[in-house]
Parts: sequence; structure tokens; C-alpha cells
Amino acid sequence: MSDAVVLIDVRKSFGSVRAVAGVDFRLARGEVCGFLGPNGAGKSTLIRMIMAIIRQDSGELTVLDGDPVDVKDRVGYLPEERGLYRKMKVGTFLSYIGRLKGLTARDARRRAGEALERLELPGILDRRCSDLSKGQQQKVQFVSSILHEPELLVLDEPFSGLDPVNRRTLQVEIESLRQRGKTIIFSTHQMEQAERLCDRVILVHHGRKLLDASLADALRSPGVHAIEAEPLGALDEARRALIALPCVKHAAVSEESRTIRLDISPEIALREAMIQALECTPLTSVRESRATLDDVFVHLVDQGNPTVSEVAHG
Amino acid sequence: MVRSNRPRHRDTIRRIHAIASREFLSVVLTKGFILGILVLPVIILFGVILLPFMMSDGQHAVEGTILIIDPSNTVAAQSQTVLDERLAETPESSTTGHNDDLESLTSRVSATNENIQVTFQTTTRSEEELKNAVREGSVLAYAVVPAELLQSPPASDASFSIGVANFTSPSHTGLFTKALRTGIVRARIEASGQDYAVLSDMLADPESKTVRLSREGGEAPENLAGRMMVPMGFMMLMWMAVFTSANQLLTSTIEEKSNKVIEVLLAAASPFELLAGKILGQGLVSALLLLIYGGLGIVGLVAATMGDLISWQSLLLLLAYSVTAYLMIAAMMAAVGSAVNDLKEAQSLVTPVMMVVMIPLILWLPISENPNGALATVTSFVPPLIPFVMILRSTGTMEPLPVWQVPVTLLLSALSSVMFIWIAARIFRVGVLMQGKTPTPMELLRWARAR
Repeated sequence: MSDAVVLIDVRKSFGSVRAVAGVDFRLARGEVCGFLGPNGAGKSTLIRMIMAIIRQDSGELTVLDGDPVDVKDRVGYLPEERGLYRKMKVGTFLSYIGRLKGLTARDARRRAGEALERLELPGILDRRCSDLSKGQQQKVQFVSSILHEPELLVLDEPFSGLDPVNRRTLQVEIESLRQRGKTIIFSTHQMEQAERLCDRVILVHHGRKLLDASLADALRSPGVHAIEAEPLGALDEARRALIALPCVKHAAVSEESRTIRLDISPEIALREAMIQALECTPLTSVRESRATLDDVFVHLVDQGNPTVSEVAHG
Repeated sequence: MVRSNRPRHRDTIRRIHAIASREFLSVVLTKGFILGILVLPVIILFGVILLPFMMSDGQHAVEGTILIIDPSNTVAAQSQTVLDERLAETPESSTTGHNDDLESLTSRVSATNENIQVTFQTTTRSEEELKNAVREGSVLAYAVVPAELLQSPPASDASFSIGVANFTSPSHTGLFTKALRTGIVRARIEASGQDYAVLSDMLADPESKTVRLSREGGEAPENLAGRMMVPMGFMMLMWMAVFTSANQLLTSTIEEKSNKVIEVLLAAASPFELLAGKILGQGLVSALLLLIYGGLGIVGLVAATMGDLISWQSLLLLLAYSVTAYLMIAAMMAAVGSAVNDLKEAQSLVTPVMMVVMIPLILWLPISENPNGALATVTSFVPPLIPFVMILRSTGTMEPLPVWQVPVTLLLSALSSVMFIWIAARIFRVGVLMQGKTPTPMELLRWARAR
């Protein structure tokens, strides 16, 4: 099957500001891909180009084997800045968006009712949008993006502003869409959500792609070189002893898990560091620390290293 | 699953249709619009029919004597005759007068009232006594008519005085004054041995009949209503229908932008489809307004047996020019709406647009006076004034325009509409995604030129 999204050397500038500086990637159908990057990295510009809201200055961009303009009915979109007609009723709003996406008003209303029920918002079709809470409005807007059963779903910060219960509900719905074979791109700052949902991550910084890798590869990226020790005695005492080791760059205590995470100098092998730690203070266990996306994100953005993507991809 | 292999133009039409129907229904189904539609005819009904009726019916009864200090003892009888004649006049017969000054109008209003029972009498009491009598309410009013007023010719600086209670209404005061004034004239004429009725008939202004002759050999009676008021009515109708909708377009665009719905819409439709749908939807609102108010106007004219003032050609021209007027103004409003973040910001950009389209309202009188003059002709070729000026010029019943000007201005108007929409679409495309400070007109031009 052909790729859902293909970008080849896509560039976009706004006046003198270069928002996207030559980005390439291919997204296979059915993949769930996280767009990560700090504020102003170019994620939203990339998403707007995929949605044909703006056009690229140069490069090639194909969505679902066609020009993004021609496939709008097959793509769903939840923008970062939520927007509803305040005075409009929920059912009217969703019918309108459904009609724009090629559904009949009746179909759109029926599907809206079903989706709202799944998202634990039954019976709100006749309520005005302005009467809903922020979280409810966000769910309504999410429903507007999936009403027409899109093949590709683009979600810009879908979890921002949601409480843990609503976040969980939305996560379940996204999970269900993934199981139905939808291709999903979502941009987020919440790394744990990306780790939970993504098959693949693309990290963008200063309009360039810093990382393009499967989640597993991303978590093995260079720069994350740490061990995790569980002391037998007091945490503070063990930390003081461990930080004194020459191979330890930084030691962080987790009261919750009663562990100490030690960042190790890159020239020292992790196995060697573990032996030194065991010799230094009594420990119940010591193991290689698993990197988080947060670590990868911070490390790569700090370094701004453009070659990482090739390393990780290879 | 949504079908994926439809021809692109069909999708475009479907989206424009969806956007247009939302725009149309979001306006016409509001309480404000429905009330607004009903309120205007009610106001007109009130102003034209009920207000005069209520004014005439609402006069309180007046009954009493007006005492006159008059050495000749002739003015009271003559004034009584004048008043009785006026009170006997029907409203219809009273409207045939030539000089409808305020006094005669107020007199006429009172004269139709059956509750006026006033007697004029000559008195020998002093003016001071009469003042006290008026204050006490034992007499309605008094008048002092000096002998010099009754001489032939009268003394040039002579005048009569009248005293009324401070609660006497201005219309009744006018009625008494008018009766006394005419009574004095009649007394003076009778004293000189002339017959007032004969002289009055001889002094009456003759009726005139003006005929307008065209170069082509045509001949038509002068008709001021047809010449001035009908074109003004047509233009106001067009102006109102166009601006109500164009203003709605401005506010709905700003609302979508400030509510951030615009990005959802642009993910579903192209900027062109969005703009076209919005212009079409509000255009239908404009057409509905034109139909309702235009229809009411025609019904009113037909009811007043003035239906011949409107021809089907005029209605066709109204329709054609209204379409182009709407497209030009709507395009400008949509462009402004897309470029700003709220209504307050829009004011600075809308003001120049409004100033331009106010011109036909200001120039109504000179253009109607001289529909083929230089001013009228030149402004007929300046977009976006073309439709407004042309409807003023072409619907007057008197002076036919040079035949070529109607098709040429229609064509120019249509081309201008296309150009306005093209520029607006280019501004709209950039503006709807822009946030931050309000752009200057120069920046708008730069957006229009952007690739």
C-alpha cells in the first residue's frame, strides 16, 4: 500500500522567517506518528501544509496519493486553537462540518450522536456550544474531526487542557481509530502520551527534522547514557556517595520509586559504571536506565544535531 | 466512508452550497432578523397611517368665546365665517391648498375636529379686563384689532394682537390666528365696497400643467414623484439590502476568525470556496430583503394608485444593478473582515469604504435634478458607485439616458465585481490566518499581490 503522507524537501517561509527548512519524511498507512518539538519549531506549519490550509513554497507534498487540496474530505483535523460557533447548537455545528466533509446532514447528526456517546457526552446535540465546559467543547471538536471516518487524522495538541479522566477517554478513542487502521499524526508536548500512542516520532526544531524514528529506536538514541540504582539504605546518603564517583555526571533522586538515576559520562561503559556503583554503596539493584521521550527531546533540542535522524533511522 | 473519486468541481459546489446555506440560515432564522423584517413595515404603517390619524384624533375639545376689540365691529362676523368654513372642510378638500405652511397644516388638523365650538364676538371691554378673563378661563382668547388695519390701504406697520391661555395648544392658536387674519382681510375688503368672494377667486393662483418633451418626440406629464422620489426609493432599497447583508458578512467573518473556527473551515474547504459560500449565502439574504421591502413598496404604490410609476424595466435594472452592487460591497467587507481580529479594528478599514458608498446618498439631489449632467455621467463609470448612481439615473421617469450607457455600465459593473472578488479572495486567503496588529491598506494591497 502506498504511503499516507510524503514530504520531499518541503520549505515554507513567512517573510524573512523560515518556518520549515527542507523537511522530508514518509508516513505509511496505519502508522501513528507523533510530531514533537519545542514551541515555534514548525510543527503547526507542517500540519497546516498537510491540511492544505497553507501551501509550501517549494518541495513535494502528497497526502493519500494526491494533492492535499483534493483529499480534504478524507482527512480529519483537530487544530491546536479550538474553535466553535458559540451560539450554535452542537448538533447544528457537527452537521455543518459533516456536510462540508461530504456527509448528508442526517448522517452527520447520527454519527455525531454515536461519537458523543462514546466520548461520554450523550444528549448534548441540542445544547449551545457556549454552554459547554472547555473539556466538553474540546471533545465536540474532536468529534468534528472524526465524523466522516477520515483515512488520515491530524491532531494538534489533542490532550491539552483535558483532565485525566477526559484524557483517558480520548486516548481510548484514538486507540480504537488506530485499531481500525487509520493513519494518525499528532503533535504534542506531552511526551508520555506520545510514548503511549505513537509507533513513530518525528522531532522538529528550527524548521528542520532532528529525529525520525520508530519509538523503540528513538528511545535508544544517543545521548541517553544512564543507570538506575536502588539503595539499601537512606536515599540521600547513597546519592552523596554515588555523585562522588568520577563517572557520574548527575544524580537524580526519585522518592516515589526510591531510586537514583545517574547520568554517566559517555566514555565510560554502563556495565563499568554499574560495577563502580555497587562497590561504592550498598544497593539492592542496579540496571541500565530506560530513556524516556522527554530525555530524547531535551537532549536533541539542546544539541540541535541535524545528523541524529540518519543515525536513529539507520 | 466518504466517496473519494468525485470530480473536484462537484465537491467545490457541494462545499459552497453547505457554506452558503449556513450563512443564509444563520441570519434569517434569528429572532433579530425576523423582528427586523416585521418592524420596518410596522414603523412605516405607523408613520404613514396611524400617526396622522392619532394626531388628528388626539386633539382635546375646545369650546368658548373669542372676544375682539374692534372699533368697526366687522371682524368678528368675518372671522366666524372663516372658521366655520374651515371646520366644514373635509380633510380631502383641505389638502388641495397650494401653500402648505405649518400654520395651515396645523389649522387643517384642528379644522377636521368636530369638538371645536368657538364663537367670535366684538367687545367694548378693556384689554386688561380681557387678559384677566382669559386667565380666569371665562373666555377662550381675545384679540385687539386696530382701526388702521381695516383702512384701504392698511397702515404698513399695523398689526393685531391675540391673547390666549398658556395651555392652549399651538394648533388651536394657529387656527384662531388664521381665522382672525383672514377675517380682517375680508372685513377690510367689504369695507371698501368690494366683494371678497369675487376678489378671492380673481386672486387665486391658476392651476398649471407641465409637459416634458423629449428630443425623440415623446411627451409626458411632469411627475415630481416619478422624477425624484421613485429613483431615491429604488436606490435606498438597494443600499439597505446590500449593506445589511454586507455588514453581516463582515461580522460573520470576524466571528469565525476570532472564535478560531476559521481553521476548522479551511481544513474542510479552500479559502475560495469559503469566500464564495459566504458571499452567496449573504447574497441570498440581500435578495430576500429586496424582495420583501421591494414587494411591500410596490404593493403600497399600487394601493395608492401610483403603480404606473414603476415599470418592469426599472425592476429588471434594480435587480441587475443590485447584484453587482452587492458583489462589490460584499467583497470589500469580506476582505476587511478577514484582515482584522475584532469589530473595533474593522472600523478603521470600513470607514473609507463607507465614505465612498455614501457618495450617492449625498449626490441624490443633484443627480436626480440633472440625470444627464456631467456629475451624474462621470460617477456612473466609477466603481463601486456605478450601480447606485445608475439606478438613480435610469429609474427616473423623465429624462431618458443615452441608450448605450445602461449596457456599458452594466458590463463595467459586472467586470468590476469580478475584479473586486478576485482582490478580496487574495486578501481573504492571507488575512484569515493572520493574527496580530491590524494591517494598513498598503499591507492589504501587498497581500493581494502575494503569490
